[in-house]
Amino acid sequence: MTAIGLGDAALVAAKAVTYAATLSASGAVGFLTYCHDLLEASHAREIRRLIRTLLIVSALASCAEILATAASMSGDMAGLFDLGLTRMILQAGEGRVTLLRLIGLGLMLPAPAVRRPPPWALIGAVVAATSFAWVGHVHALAEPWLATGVLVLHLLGAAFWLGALMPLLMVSRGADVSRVAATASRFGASALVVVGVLFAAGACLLCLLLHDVTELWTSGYGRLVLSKIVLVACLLALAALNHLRLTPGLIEGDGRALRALQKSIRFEIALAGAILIVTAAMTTLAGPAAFD
Amino acid sequence: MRSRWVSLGLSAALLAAGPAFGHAKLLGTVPAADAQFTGPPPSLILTFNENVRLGVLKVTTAGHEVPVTIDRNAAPASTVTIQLPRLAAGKYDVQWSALTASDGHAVKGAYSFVIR
Repeated sequence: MTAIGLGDAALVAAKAVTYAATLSASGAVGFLTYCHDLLEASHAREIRRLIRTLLIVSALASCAEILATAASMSGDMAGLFDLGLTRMILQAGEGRVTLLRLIGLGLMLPAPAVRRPPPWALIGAVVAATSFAWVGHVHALAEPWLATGVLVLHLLGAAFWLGALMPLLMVSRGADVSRVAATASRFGASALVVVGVLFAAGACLLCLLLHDVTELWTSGYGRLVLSKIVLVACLLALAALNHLRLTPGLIEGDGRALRALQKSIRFEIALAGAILIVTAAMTTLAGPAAFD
Repeated sequence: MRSRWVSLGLSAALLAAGPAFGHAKLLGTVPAADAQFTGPPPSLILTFNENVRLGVLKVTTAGHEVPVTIDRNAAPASTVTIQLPRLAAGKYDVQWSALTASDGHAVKGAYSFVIR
């Protein structure tokens, strides 16, 4: 890893916000689709407002990422105003990927206006969430299509999980505990499979990108990966707690389980944010030794 | 039913729109990194493992930037040559950044050389 400048930090921040907003918007559209019949009208409205906000943030952060890339390449913040460099970046792969993401976000636009998202909003959710797979380290591997396919699964799993956190927190503030329990239960049933796929895809990517397990502590990229693994392990532990103890408690009408679930979801959101910052650092500041 | 096929087709088209491959790596430079030699080099040569477009090149010595011109509209190439003005003796730091032609991923690096 080279020394980190202000432009690099700005790029990491812009990327992290783009990941968070895009994956959360995509996942929230999916959440509305598979839980719409369980939601109170007020919560559905709140989630639709959340999606609208996330779509705007994702679009703005995607554009900011282009400018921050220019600053990072330039080595100083003057790069933000280097129109020639920005034009180069837009004409290149990052520009195409950003356009793809904006198309996906555009297809999701109807979702905040209707009770149940239309089919093309779900397509938009998939396109936006997977847009990150079309550029980056996986494309330097000997089997780029395999790695890209695995990364697509990883991103869809991340969108499903991360996108449900804020909506679940909103729903958990409702007075009807049985409705909260039913929603958490429906999410949890799908999450078992999705998280399994997410985890397996992540492990597969690690095997493809790292030469040796010792790279986890001997290389800058490896140490970032290790940090992500630790954070994901904490997130998995919380998710297991929710599924195995808190959701059953909710089903039995236990009010303490509801408060504990709210607290747990807030921790999950914080952990998810940390994971996305580490991921942004991994994809910006360092590269796997497999490419050396 | 027709809208479902349209949706599937649109989905496939959009997912297929973006594949790109590549992650450029600097293989070597002329002058070589950390080289020490007499006589100013006429140019800098950067060789990559795949085609790139050079976006930024800064050459500095003793805190001053040496004026160099790069052509951002040049066609992607794996070897990039930048003409240099006549350089005096001293230590020179080179900072470069480029975009991989195939996937537009930004790569950057830095190295130094000394003219005795």
